Amino acid sequence: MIDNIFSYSASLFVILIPLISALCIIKIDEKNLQLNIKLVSIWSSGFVFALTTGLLLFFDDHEAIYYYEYFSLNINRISIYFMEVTAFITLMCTIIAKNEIDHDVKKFNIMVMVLESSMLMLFSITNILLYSCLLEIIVLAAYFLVGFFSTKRKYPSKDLIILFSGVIFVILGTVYIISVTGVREIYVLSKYSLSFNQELIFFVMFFMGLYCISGLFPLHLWTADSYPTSVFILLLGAISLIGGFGMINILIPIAKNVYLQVHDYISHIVLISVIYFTLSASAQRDYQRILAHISTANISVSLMGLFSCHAEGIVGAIYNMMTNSVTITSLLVINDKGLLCSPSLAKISIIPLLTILSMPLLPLFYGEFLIIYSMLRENLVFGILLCAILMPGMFFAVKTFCEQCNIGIEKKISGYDFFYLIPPVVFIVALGISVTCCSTNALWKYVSRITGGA
Amino acid sequence: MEYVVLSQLITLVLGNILQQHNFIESEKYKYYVPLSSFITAVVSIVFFILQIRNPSVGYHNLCDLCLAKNITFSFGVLSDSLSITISCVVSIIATLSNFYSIGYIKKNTNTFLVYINALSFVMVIFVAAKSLLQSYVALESMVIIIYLMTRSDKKSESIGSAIAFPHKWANVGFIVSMIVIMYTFQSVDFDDINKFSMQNDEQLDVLEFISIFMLLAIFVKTAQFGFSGWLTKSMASSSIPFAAVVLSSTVAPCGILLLIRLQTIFECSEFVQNIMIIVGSFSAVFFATRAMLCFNVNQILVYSTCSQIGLMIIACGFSAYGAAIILFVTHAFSKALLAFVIGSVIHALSGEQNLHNMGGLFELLPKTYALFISATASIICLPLMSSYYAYKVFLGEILNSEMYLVALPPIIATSILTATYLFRMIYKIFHGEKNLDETILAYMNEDNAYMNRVSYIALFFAIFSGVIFYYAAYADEVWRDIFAFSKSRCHPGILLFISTLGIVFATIVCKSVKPIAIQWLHHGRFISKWLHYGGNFISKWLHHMCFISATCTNIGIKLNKVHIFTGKHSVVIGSVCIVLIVFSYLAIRITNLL
Repeated sequence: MIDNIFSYSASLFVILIPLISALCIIKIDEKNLQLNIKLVSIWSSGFVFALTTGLLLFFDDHEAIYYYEYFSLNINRISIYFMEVTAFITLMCTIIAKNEIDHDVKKFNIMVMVLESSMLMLFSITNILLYSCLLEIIVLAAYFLVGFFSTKRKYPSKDLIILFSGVIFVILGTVYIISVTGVREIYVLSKYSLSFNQELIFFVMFFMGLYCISGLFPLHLWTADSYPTSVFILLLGAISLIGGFGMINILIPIAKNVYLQVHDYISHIVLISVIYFTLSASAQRDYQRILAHISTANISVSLMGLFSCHAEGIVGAIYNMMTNSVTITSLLVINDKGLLCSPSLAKISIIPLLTILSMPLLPLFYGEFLIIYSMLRENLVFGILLCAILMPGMFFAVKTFCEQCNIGIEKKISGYDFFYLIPPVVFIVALGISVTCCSTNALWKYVSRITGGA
Repeated sequence: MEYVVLSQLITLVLGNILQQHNFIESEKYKYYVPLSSFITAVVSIVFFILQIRNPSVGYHNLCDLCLAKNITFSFGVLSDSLSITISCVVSIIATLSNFYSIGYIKKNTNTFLVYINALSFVMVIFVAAKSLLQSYVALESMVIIIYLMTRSDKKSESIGSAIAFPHKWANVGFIVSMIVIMYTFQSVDFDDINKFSMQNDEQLDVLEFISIFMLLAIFVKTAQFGFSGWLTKSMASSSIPFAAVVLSSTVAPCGILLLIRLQTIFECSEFVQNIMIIVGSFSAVFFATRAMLCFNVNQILVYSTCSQIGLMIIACGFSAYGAAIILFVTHAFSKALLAFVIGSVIHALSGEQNLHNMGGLFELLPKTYALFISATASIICLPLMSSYYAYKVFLGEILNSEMYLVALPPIIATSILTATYLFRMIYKIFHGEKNLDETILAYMNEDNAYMNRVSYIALFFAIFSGVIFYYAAYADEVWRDIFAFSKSRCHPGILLFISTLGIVFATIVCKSVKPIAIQWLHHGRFISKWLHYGGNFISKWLHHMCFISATCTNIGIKLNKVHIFTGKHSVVIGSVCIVLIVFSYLAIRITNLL
């Protein structure tokens, strides 16, 4: 257990380190010192990951809100979990990018650092206006990454339309709620008594914005193109967390009454997304697209859990989102390095595959179990339908993925390959263990507070 | 019981370590894993004897998984009569398979030993489970092991999904019922489930819902009618020692143990019990018929297992759980023996599995022939054999019930068909004309010490397991209560009638009776044509919906092409069997008098 001010300082440090690294990278000469740029990013991400792990292990299990005049942070178990996952994914991205990105190295690393810093701040900020600004920065950074480094298209216009539409909706919702209440702090807004219509307007705008950014059906077009692995890791792993976190932290606490009224309609609509992505994943031929569809299917399942109106569903959604990000990242990394084809590493590289298949004792099973538990309690038919689609569908998706991977040539293993394989697998196992540890008590308290004991 | 689990784990780890360094195939180290497995079997037998003498229930908790305030799963080792008995059976069969593999498999022995021991370990975990989640973990692990075992054979890479996909539907049923149990009873421990469902009269519809979904999972796991594709495909490409372990005591019958553990839930609904009786009866007869019309010995073994498991499900449908357990135990040893003997034949014929390419091996493989007859005798409930005692309890329970007329004809039909297809195998393999290649004949021998000795030990268990279990269970009141044996027993005359009928029918079918054969063919031709055309259409639809692979078409085609075997020694065998039956009947009468 550490003192509050210490945890505040640590989290502030965590947020600022990537920005400082970005500033340092600007000063480095790209032509002669490319390797230095990459190493700065890797070390920065590694340091951030180490700090967030320390925060996770030693953070006191109560919610800490630090108010300062223009900048305040809300550090709780959920935000630390999401920050940890983001830090890990960014670290893997920078490690992969070391050998993958050969052109515009400076631009890439600056964008990644800015993205990381913005995301870490996004998960702990309390000011809703700052939240929407950060969202815009993240979307801009992601757009530039996609535009500079996409292998197929130079100017991804449909990405622009969908992503920025999402941002516009969020900003509209933010402006509306501030104009109605005059309050910018999310914590204060969650206690504010709004009329049903006011909540409904805010809910619709904010939900639409986050739905566009999450890339769910039918707005998923921007997730399914070919990018370098490092960019794809960020898109699938990190940015996919934004939508869910925004809904848990902002949408549901502020528009509680609307949430209680419309939660079942939304979960039924999202079920269409689950069915579509689960079935279409097995029809893809590019392994990146398969993983994109699997990831989006899992995000849709998380959304169903969020809108099941049960604390178990929301907690399951949190587990699901985190595990999905880490597992997809590990599969991308492992497959990119050809490690799935290697029989000597099969015993280790099978763990992410079994995680996607919801093997018990692995973390994705817990999340899906809790979500199906809450859905069955809420609506038996939809719960059975979710279960019946998800399990066989994921099996076929993973089977298709394995078939695509087996097309590659078996690779000779080098020492560096263990750096790509071991950390993701260890992280998955550690996530599974942490899910069942005592930290769940704090999570349940926080979630119950959000849902008002619903 | 913890020591059994620990010794199984040690065997598995040892096998893994030796496999990594390719030590198992060297002369110096190849006995390490089988010996370790033997120690496990000895430990389990010791615990079994201790449990007989002093029945007790104990639980050793390893860890608790807490997902939420009211969602806690416990992982541990449950020591009760059922878990100790089944783990004893599993350990013994795993040991026998380990030693058998040394003689049977020449290449990649290490891989097979690892998979066999992994499967045994997981089965012991399943049997010692106190909560549903632990059972679910064990069941999933079994599927993964079979999938990996199938994929290790390069020729059968494509059937992996055909094996794993049906289990996903089983998982749907399992997860849904587990979750509904969780929020109805606030616990997934078997004891709590049974206690609360007995007290719960108001939520019978919920219990029925749970039992229907769990039954879906069980039917897939036990490869019953409509869900058997995965087992036939996986066993078609696997080796005999692995098949022996899978079919006899681990993967195939594990659903029966789940039924027994959750018995009170299934007893709350008459509708569900009726489904079990109907599906079990239909599966028993259907698979016995398929075995009779099949020409691949490996496939016959699989269909035979599915048929026998159908009988166990019928027993559970009549709430005769004691009968189901004794059927399980006796079936495990008998099926293991049959698998070993079939393996000896395949090994002697250098991998040949088609009955058309066998014949006339009576003089060349006399020991194997004697073992085959013994294995057949142990399955078809001949007196003094283990299945005799199992059927005694089984039919006793059935005949005491009001619905005995529903189940009795399928049971009798299954017993007759079982005798028929087993004797048909004997005639096809050991009698008649030799259809073998001369090169195979030149190298044929049955002097593999490991395989023969293992088969003799398996024969001992196949003969005496029934009587040991029967008298151990009946002698002790506590054991009788634990296994829910009622005092009813079937009259020996009925069993003798069934076994005699089976042997006589087998003899007639295989005997050279041309007029009868021609008449049967003529009658059969119309039916077989209808089955062929009509069944073709239905089977295509059923194949996609229910995983049946052109069943009706197969029956139609096979009936059209039935070869009536003109066994020269059929009269001799028939006479020997009749003499045996008469002798045994006299022996029983004398014993009763004494």
